[in-house]
Amino acid sequence: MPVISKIQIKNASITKTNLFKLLDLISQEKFLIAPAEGPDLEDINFLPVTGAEQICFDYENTLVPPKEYFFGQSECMFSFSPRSNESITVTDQSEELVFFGVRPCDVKAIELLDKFYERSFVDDYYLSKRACSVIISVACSQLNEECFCTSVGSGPVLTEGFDIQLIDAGNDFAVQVGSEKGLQLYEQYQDFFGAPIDVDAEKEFEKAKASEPGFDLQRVYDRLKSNKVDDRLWADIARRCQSCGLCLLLCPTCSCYTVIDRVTPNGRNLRMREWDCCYFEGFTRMAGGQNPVKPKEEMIKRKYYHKLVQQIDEFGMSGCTGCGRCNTVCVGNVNWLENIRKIEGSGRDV
Amino acid sequence: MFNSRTYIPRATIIQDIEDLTYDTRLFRLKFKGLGDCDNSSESDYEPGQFVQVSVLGMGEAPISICSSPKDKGFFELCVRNTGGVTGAMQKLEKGDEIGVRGPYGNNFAIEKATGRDCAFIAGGIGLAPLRSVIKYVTAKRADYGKLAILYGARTKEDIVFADELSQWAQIESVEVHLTIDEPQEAWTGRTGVVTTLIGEISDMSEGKCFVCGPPIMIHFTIKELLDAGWTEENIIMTLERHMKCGVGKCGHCYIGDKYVCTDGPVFTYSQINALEVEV
Ligand SMILES: Cc1cc2nc3c(=O)[nH]c(=O)nc-3n(C[C@H](O)[C@H](O)[C@H](O)COP(=O)(O)OP(=O)(O)OC[C@H]3O[C@@H](n4cnc5c(N)ncnc54)[C@H](O)[C@@H]3O)c2cc1C
Ligand code: SF4
Ligand code: SF4
Ligand code: FES
Repeated sequence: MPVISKIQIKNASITKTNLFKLLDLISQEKFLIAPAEGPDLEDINFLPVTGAEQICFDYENTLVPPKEYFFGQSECMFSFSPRSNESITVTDQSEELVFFGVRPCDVKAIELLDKFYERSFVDDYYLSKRACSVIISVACSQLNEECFCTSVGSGPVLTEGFDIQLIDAGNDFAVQVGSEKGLQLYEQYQDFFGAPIDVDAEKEFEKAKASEPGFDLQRVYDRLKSNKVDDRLWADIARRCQSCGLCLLLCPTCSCYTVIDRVTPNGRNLRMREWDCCYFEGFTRMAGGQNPVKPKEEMIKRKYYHKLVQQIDEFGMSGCTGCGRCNTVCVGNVNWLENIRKIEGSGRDV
Repeated sequence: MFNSRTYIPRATIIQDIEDLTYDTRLFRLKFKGLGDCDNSSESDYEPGQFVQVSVLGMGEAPISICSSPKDKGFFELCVRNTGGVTGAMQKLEKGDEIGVRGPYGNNFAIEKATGRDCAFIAGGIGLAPLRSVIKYVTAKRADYGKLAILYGARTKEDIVFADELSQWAQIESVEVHLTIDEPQEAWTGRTGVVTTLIGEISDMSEGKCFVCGPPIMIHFTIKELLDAGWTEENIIMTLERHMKCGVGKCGHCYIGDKYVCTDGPVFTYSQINALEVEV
């Protein structure tokens, strides 16, 4: 579980007034994406902002995770003329994107997606957008009701894998620079920053851990891997799940997609990829209507096994970063965290 | 790789089309603009691998390469009409273009069968991926023991590669057995499902057996093979899954802890058991 590392490329601080000014300047000079209220909705989401006054500083987390900027809900893979494969054109991301306000769990989720898209075969679409982005993340100083980063090693303060991390210290933020990209941004706007200040990240972590209804990830992994989970749990979830897919669409680490060709009369022909969900009925159906993933319990298990076993095996980190989004959105009252704790407890007395 | 960027299909020209049945066609493809195409070196694909075929405007479908790596200057796909992409391919003509990316997936690991008897059991269009490996082993006949091909089709009209089946039967110590599901007029051969042929290879149970066909056929074939004394390790099959990307990204083919498109589609039956997949 997380060890608080003190090794950063650079430590500094920034006053809250200066942070506001800095973001205001960045929003004019670059493409800034930050938590903001949408035009019609009250939900807070990552939106492009053109002035710091549009940014929401008092938020728990956004409804939709930032992954949509790297792996779009619906994105064009290439455009073509239907007659020739030689007409294919690909547009790579080239404009720099600066993110402000990404929470540690979502930074961790991006770290996982980076590993996933980098392993063969490489996904140029995702990686080209990532290469153009720099993230200023903000550590959490209080845990929300539904999240559980301390159990999966992804917060509330990051120890590595960030570009620039801000940690609230009253009137100032402690600033940690953790990557080359972060350093470049820092150096470009150096005048806004002050001398390093002390924050006790370890204490923050312990405080958060104590307040969280956590679980022992290793035990959950063992239970799932050895298939010792009470079948009634899967039956219960299968009964509640309406296959709406929201829990997966809003998950910062989910990456499944489908591919659709869009041919329009105006000659804009696009091969698109769009978010897809393993909890949709047709996800695994094959030619002839046969579906190898039946009954529904098998479908349900997949999310648990994939995130809490397979991705730990493959990437050495949990495929769930504890953001808690899927707990709150389910129409069938499926509570992921509660179910993980049931998995942890299953077979304890036998 | 045929294509240089992960998701971008490479243009190929249809050199030839053969209608194998009323709904299945054999396409001979050549890469566009590169003379005799550059898959001239044998190592470019292995028997058992597949490509993502792209009909721009319709989409993509995974199709096994059914020619042998020993065929130079072209490669072949055998495609059965089941829907959008495969349906659109029925309308294509010689000289038309289709996109291809790959080759993807693992392979039949045919080198492990060197010196041993090999049986091939196919149902319907399942003969297509096996054809690649059958052509490969018959071209290097001396490296293997006895060969047997058991093939079952629903009706005589559904038989694919009929000419080649009789050619293979002419090769020394290659047995070919054919059956169709129900008796039919003008059919003098055997009838019954393909599993009824397994008795013909009872003396080969120390060898390797390659199985390919629809799920129900695979299910019963494996049962009979196990009863006849084949080990799980020596039964080699392909798993068919819905696939969108072929490169371990879209998630559609994920099962147990494997991506069928990159970890498969070829598995031994013992691996399938470990995945807890019903076959
Ligand atoms: C590794 C592999 C090798 C294959 N090799 C061959 C081959 O050599 N020759 C051949 O004719 N067929 C082969 N298939 C099957 C072929 O891919 C499907 O028939 C084809 O994808 C259907 O696509 P479509 O666009 O024509 O049909 P659609 O209109 O997309 O769909 C028709 C039906 O097929 C299902 N389906 C859609 N995509 C797939 C998919 N990728 N796999 C399975 N079902 C799907 C749909 O859910 C629907 O029920 C192979 C499949 C795999 C996974
Ligand atoms: S949000 Fe709930 S109902 Fe919807 S797919 Fe997820 S578990 Fe099923
Ligand atoms: S599984 Fe749920 S809690 Fe975990 S990262 Fe995904 S949305 Fe967040
Ligand atoms: S086909 Fe997309 S992950 Fe296997």
